[in-house]
Amino acid sequence: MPGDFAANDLAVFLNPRDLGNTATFNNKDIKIQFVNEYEAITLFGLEIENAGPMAMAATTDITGIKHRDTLVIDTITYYVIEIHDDGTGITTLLLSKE
Amino acid sequence: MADSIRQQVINKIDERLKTIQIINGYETDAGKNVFHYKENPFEQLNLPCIEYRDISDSPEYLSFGLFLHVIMLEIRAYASGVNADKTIRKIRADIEKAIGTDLTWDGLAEDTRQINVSQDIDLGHSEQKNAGTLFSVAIEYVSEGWSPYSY
Repeated sequence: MPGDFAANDLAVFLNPRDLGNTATFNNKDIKIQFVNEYEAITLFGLEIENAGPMAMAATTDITGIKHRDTLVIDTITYYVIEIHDDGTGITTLLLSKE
Repeated sequence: MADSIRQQVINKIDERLKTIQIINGYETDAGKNVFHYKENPFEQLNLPCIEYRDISDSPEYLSFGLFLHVIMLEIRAYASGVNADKTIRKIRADIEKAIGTDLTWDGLAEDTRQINVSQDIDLGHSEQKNAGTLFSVAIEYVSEGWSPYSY
């Protein structure tokens, strides 16, 4: 059940000592899972190399987050461009450097 | 070996697009990265850039054994950055200005016309913000029938 996952298992994925990373949001360190994989942008049928950075965080740690808010991860400032709250206690944030 | 008229026109297009540099009085340096039929993705480091392709050359009988050819040329350009949309509009204007400097391509063609497309600017946003534009052009030249090397 989602409630069990959020209560018992989520911490392992987010804890920097296990699988997670740390981000700074609103001058506060929060635990996240950071992924940054290759993702091309296609415009007029041709591709431009790009990446799709995203951070998964406990929804309770990012209450009130909105587009263009910033997360600092490994000294890099990312802007939030999409917010996906999946209802299991985790929210996925799609990020951009611009 | 001689180049066909179509190849000579393409050579002129390549030269012209490469002049799009601030040092030559344009607003951008997109002409520093010009590609013909690029087959793999563009690198962010190579933006802004211009890519062009001559997608067809349709001959139509004119008279006295002469044919009117129409080269359909697609010119794409790409930019990155927070202001990618503004940059791409500048590049688009630069391309239009460059083509307009000589619509005959040093006398090789009769005329060059801009073709309307339903969408000419688009944006994409992931780690970087990118913008692209599509410019469609028809270049008309005359040749003798079945004789791509002579006028």
